[in-house]
Amino acid sequence: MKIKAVGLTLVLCLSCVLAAGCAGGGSSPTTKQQPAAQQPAVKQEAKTTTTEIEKTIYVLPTNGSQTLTPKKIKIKAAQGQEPLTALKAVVDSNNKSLPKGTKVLGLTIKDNLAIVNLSKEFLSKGQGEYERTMSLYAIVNTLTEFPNIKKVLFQADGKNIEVLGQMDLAEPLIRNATYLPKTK
Amino acid sequence: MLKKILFLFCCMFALVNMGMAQAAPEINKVSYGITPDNKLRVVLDCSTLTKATANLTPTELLVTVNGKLSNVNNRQYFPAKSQTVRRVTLQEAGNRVIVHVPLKTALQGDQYKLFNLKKDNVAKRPERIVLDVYNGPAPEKRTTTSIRVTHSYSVSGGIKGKKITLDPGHGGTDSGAIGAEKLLEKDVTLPVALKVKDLLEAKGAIVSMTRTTDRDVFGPDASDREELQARVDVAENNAADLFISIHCNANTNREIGGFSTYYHEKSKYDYLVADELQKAMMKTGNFQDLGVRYANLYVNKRCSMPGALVEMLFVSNRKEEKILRSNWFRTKLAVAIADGIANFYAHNN
Repeated sequence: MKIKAVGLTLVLCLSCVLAAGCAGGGSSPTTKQQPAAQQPAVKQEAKTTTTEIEKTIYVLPTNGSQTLTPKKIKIKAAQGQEPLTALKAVVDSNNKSLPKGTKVLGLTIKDNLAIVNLSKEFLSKGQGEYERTMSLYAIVNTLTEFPNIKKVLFQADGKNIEVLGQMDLAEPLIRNATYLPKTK
Repeated sequence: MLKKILFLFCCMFALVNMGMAQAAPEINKVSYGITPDNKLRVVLDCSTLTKATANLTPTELLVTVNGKLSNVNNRQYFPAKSQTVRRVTLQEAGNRVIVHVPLKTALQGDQYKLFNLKKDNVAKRPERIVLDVYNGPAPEKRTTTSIRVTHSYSVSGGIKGKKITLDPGHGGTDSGAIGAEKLLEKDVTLPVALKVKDLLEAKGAIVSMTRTTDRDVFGPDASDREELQARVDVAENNAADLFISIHCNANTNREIGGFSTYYHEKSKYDYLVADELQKAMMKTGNFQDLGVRYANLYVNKRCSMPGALVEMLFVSNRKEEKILRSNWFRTKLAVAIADGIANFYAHNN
């Protein structure tokens, strides 16, 4: 019952936001089909067990090479929310390589697939191919550190992306070891 | 309590947004045309991001766009030889524009597509609303999207007689990356690719090009996917044995430079050819070796034959931009790429 009520509130909330978006000539102009109702960023119930774990995230190197630098960070998050926290950390750490203003809107994980929903700034042009590929694979490699994530699909403002620069984003990306330091 | 706060917050958000409702967007230009895969395409250049909705009936397709037709004179279009569309007419109704598309035959829901093309400051293109309508069967040679013809390719027996498709990156309305001194990526990729073509032909290869002039391969106002697919189509239509895409890299931090080569592992050959290309390019001078990397690049992923994408230095790096301008270095790069390809075939005998 409680879950239902929360759900209803979220639906109400979403419809408000959607309606507002239309009135403001906002960011969601597409057309034929209704955009699939966006998953709320944090899908959490009353549970609030917070644990601290150590996790590796990947950041762009400072030496201009094409190998991502692993960085160990401590993640403090409610159970099940660790990937979202790691995602926010990796987007934060690589903010100079991602288009200006790119924000994390949400993360959904289902059947080993992580759907990363970023703000629409993610699509803006003017970024170099080097930093684009590097920052995409920094996110993919960070998320696939979690055993329940094998593939990563990118969305902008809740919508699927066909192509970004030269990258094919229509299908999920898999972990890319060629961007990681060689293991001895 | 949390629910109440959330609800209140949403209501406030909605109110603020409604207060910000702006004047209707201007539609400044309308273009009509037929795409290479035989779709009728209507493109509306808009002053800002706007909203459009489509409504399909058996006799007419109606598209309503939020905006005003400012100085558009060409409000009607009669497509020649269309099997589906009688004409396209634009009608202004207050702050909306209605695009009437009366039909010769009923369309299926998937036979039209309404979408946005984003503002592109680099290509100097505004926000656009695009309507594609099925115009009849696509010409046989130009297979786009769903029909994928897979050819068998050959890697053995040396370079002689091999069909190689070269893809000079970007072109036309898409300049690619832009250097600090305004060197355009597309103005490097084409001359280098043309030199590679001559060198490969001298080695006995049969070369096809995705473009030989400064142009968009699919056409202007294409989506990024269509533009890249059009390049894949050239390779497929020529039953190519190898596909090499030629690019320059860029980065906002101008310090970064060097060569890199990308591949998508469809076969064991993709890495091998990428590796040969990278090795050959590294011999052109004292540059950083960024290495051979796997990436989900559209052209490499969607081509059925082996291939690679080379990034010839960074136009964003001043030193490299300068050297990329020079004809002698472009020749050196072309020789390296042609040698890399020849070495790949020589090592696979």
